[in-house]
Amino acid sequence: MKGNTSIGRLAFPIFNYLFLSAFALLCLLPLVHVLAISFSSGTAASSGQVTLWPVHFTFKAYEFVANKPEFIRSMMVSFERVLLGVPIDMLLIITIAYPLSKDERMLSFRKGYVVFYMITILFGGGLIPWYMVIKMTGLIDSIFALILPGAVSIFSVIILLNFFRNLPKEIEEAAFIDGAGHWYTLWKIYVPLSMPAIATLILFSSVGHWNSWFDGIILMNRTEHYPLQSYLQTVVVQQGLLKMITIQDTQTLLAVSDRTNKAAQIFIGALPILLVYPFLQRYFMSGIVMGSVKG
Amino acid sequence: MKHQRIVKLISFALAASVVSSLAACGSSNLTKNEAPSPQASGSASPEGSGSLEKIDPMGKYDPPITVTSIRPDLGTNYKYDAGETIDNNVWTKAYQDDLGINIKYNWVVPTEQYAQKFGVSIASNDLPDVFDVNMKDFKQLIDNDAIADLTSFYEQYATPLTKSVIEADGGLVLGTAKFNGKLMAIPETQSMLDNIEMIWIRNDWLKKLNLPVPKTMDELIKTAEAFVTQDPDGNGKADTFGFAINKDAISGALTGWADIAPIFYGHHAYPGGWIKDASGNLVYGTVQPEVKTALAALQDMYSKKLIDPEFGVKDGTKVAESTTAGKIGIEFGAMWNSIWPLNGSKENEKDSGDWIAIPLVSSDDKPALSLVSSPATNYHVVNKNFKHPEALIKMVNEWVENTMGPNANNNKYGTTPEGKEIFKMSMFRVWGPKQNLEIYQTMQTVLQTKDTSKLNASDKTTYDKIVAYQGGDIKSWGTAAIFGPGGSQSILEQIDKNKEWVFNEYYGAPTQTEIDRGATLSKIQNETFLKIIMGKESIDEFDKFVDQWKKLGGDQLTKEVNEWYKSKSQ
Amino acid sequence: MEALRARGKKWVRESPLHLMMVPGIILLLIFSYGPMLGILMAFERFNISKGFFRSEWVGLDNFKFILQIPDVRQVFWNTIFIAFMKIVASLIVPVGLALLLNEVRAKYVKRGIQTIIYLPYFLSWVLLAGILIDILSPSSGIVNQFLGIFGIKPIFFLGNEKIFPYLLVVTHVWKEAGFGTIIYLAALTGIDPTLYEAAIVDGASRWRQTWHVTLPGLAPIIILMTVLSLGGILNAGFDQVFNLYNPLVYSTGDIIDTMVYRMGLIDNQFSIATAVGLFKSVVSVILISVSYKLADKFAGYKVL
Repeated sequence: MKGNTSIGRLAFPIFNYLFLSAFALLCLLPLVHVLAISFSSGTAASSGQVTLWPVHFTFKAYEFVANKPEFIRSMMVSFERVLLGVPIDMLLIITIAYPLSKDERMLSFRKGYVVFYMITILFGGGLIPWYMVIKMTGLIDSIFALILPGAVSIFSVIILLNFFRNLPKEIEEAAFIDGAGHWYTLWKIYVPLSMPAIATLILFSSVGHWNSWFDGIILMNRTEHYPLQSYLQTVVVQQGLLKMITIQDTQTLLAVSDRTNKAAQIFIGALPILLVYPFLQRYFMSGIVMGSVKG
Repeated sequence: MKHQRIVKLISFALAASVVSSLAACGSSNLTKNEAPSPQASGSASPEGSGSLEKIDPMGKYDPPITVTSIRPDLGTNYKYDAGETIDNNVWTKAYQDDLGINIKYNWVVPTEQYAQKFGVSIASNDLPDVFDVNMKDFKQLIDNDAIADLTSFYEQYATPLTKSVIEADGGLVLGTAKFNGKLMAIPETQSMLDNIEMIWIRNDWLKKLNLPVPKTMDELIKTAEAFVTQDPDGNGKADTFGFAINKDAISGALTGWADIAPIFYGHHAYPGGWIKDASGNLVYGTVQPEVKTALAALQDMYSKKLIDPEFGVKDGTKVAESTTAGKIGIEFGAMWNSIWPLNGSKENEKDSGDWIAIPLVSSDDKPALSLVSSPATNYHVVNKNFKHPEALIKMVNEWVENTMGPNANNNKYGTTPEGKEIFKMSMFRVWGPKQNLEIYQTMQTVLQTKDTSKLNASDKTTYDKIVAYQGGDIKSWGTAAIFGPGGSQSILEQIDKNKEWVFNEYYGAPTQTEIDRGATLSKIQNETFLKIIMGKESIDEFDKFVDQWKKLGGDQLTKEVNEWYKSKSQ
Repeated sequence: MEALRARGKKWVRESPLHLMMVPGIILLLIFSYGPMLGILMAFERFNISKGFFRSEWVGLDNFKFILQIPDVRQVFWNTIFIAFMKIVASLIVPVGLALLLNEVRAKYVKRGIQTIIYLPYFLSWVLLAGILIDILSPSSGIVNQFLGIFGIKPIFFLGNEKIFPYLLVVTHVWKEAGFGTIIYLAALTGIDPTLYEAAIVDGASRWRQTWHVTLPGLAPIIILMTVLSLGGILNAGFDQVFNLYNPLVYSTGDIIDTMVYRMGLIDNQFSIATAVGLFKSVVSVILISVSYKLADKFAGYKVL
């Protein structure tokens, strides 16, 4: 019996590492493939020779992207969107989650609020009415059209309010006894204590803003106002085929295959979020926060 | 789906370079035939319009009017000159200076996103004054009573030259824009010929295996067998296939590249087309017995491994990888395939494919005829609430004058000597029916005489490319394989001469049953066809499919189409 | 009087709670409730020049039309089957991954793996489909070459109607699991460390700690995610299916969204598209409410 457990104790970490590495490898493949294509020559990429290592290594695709004002311009729009959108999202999520985390005794009409919020995630009017409403607000073709309509994420609210609920009641009570109001309690106690959850939601919100493309396509009136993913959607979905518009065009295009350019753009497009992630990760890992409170 | 877009765009593009050739050779004929000058016809009295305004087809609005519109952008590769934008360029200036029209675009988005954006605009009734639509949206706008009747405006305002270009095919394409006798749009007329497909085959493989150019279906199949079994790429592995086929082509629809339809045509079957039968009624090509024969032949080809066994999951881009990598020797496609994607094969250093275009082959002694449909994909329409519907006609006149008229200036309005495509700035275009063929013919003449002095800018570019290719520049092959001696246009020239086609008699908007049941019908069709070809179902499954098709709405569809046909011919 | 004052006091005390919700409520009223008027379209034959209020009222005709589509039952069944499997898999796999990651002691390995497994999330299905066609190819794909080592004959995964739905589930998990794992990892940090300390004092093995401390600690978030994801039972993933399916697997792979797409309803038939949307919403409401009640009754857990 005892021997078994000690074998188990040894075998488990080995199995665990092997399994997780294998899974990680599987997840790494597609991005490595994209990266390999972006560094390959056009012919190699278009004949499907490139798997995980560049064939005929070249930086051409990256030079192409660097010289592409549209790409850089749309990336700027995306940055603007994230920098404006994430704080607004978080502010709204926190200010809804906090009151809802109180029970009926602390918050009158709580049930009414719950129904009000739930309805919004269950029903939608569809694309057309949505567009018409945004048009009526006069936001079409402005950055706020990409931010305000989707700013309240009830999904995130639910995650956060559950986190709030699990915070020890004693802290709050102590704060109230000291004469602190709701605003103070929320910002000075709840928010700092909920950093793991908030970091997660910041990540969701930034990834959401960074990755969404459909609203950009519908709500923007000029290509120049497209955020990066809307622009990339144009690049990816067309499969590079539309580029072969004219005899004249082909000449310039064949110099550097479109496929490699596409790959380079996809990679650069994913990069900012990939870089931000490790910073936010700190919060998921810690777990000290809660412990220190209780201790 | 993707290919249809390229088909369209490449055709446009080729046509673009052609604008000029029309001016060079085509338009001189056109203008000769038409006696009255635009001005003369302009003063003709407006019949029954009740308008007191003097009709002047090219008259300037004073004070100027503003016309709102929407449009796709010019693609990310378009290089604007300093200060030039989509809202401010030679064409917007031409509208301003010549016609007193200030054009204002409510939105400009990439071609790929146009449909989405337009769908939202259409549904929220947020439509501009003049704009372009496809057949499906066109029909919807008519049903919703949202666009203006242009019949009298076209009659009164289109110049004889404009009319001669639009109706050069005898008014066939214009007819597709008429509903209940009313002209609801100006179609962007185009060449019908350029959609006709041919066989592209690797001449280097033929030579290597000592095979003649196939002239019959049997020979073609034998050639494909040789390509599969005799190791044409000489790598010692059995890794080559005969035919390239993409998954979107299974139904026999034309996607422009790696299609299957020409196999059907070779057996005198016309899937997807409405064909006149012996009694003069229209029948649906897909459910005719000839299709069964063709499917049996395809099943046989598949079992002999002449087709990539995975073709059912590969779209056009994926299939293009196989041709570029030198795995495939034969493909059915349009005249532009050399520009994309066969150029990839040609430029592959390791295994450069020498693709040539040859005519379709038949399984018997009757020639293989191609199914030809109305080529108009774009319709210029006017919002019902717009006060100046004639402004559209005027802008079309302006297009025709500037690109094909006696004083046309293609370097300014068409394509510059540097290859910049100014013509794209104008939305309201129409094209002559045989532009590309005419360029080809011009090229053959000039290649003989070496006299390039009469060529306009874009023709000169084309000519230079042919010469460059002949001098060994592989990058120019794409163009040379179309317009050079023996290029793909030479196949179309023959087809045009011998009228080797079957016309798809139905060119109206989708009927009610087609809207309601079309997706279901094509689903069972694709499923059955693919399974038969891959040998998962026996060929007799076809008969079951036909019964099912009829029951699920096919009979009703046939009825509706024939009703339309009768109303049309009356 | 006393009671009134008490109530007044309560109001004063909780007024900030109501006030802070105001901006969010205004945005929701405009951008979520505003468009709901559009649900009317599901009962109309929508005419663009007449708008919502003057279009012809057709009652349930649009719903009847959907039910009359010959293969609609199979398509519904496919959708529910695929979506259900995806819901189950996207609960089990991320929870499992989070637990396994939690056992990893080396900090950098843990962070590294965590970052890597969420990479596929950033690639679109258009692109992934192209890669999948390559690696699953019966002739040259790496998967079949691997299976070949064990003497398994090449399998045409994308052309096999029995395998296809499972392939959708597996590739979905592959793409999304890393992202889902984040939520559970965040929740793991919320578990009170003293509980572990107590368990260790009681002599519990790591396995028992996981079973008695970690999993119960994660239970609320697992229930929450389940309840929320049940609302998506009729969304089987349009982008994924659209880019991977083909006529060979229509019988098991065609879902509501792809069917609607092929019918061209997205583009033109707004009434029917809205009817489909409303139908999905109603199913979501039922499932979410039932699971909400169940969670409350059996786990004593209130989702919201």
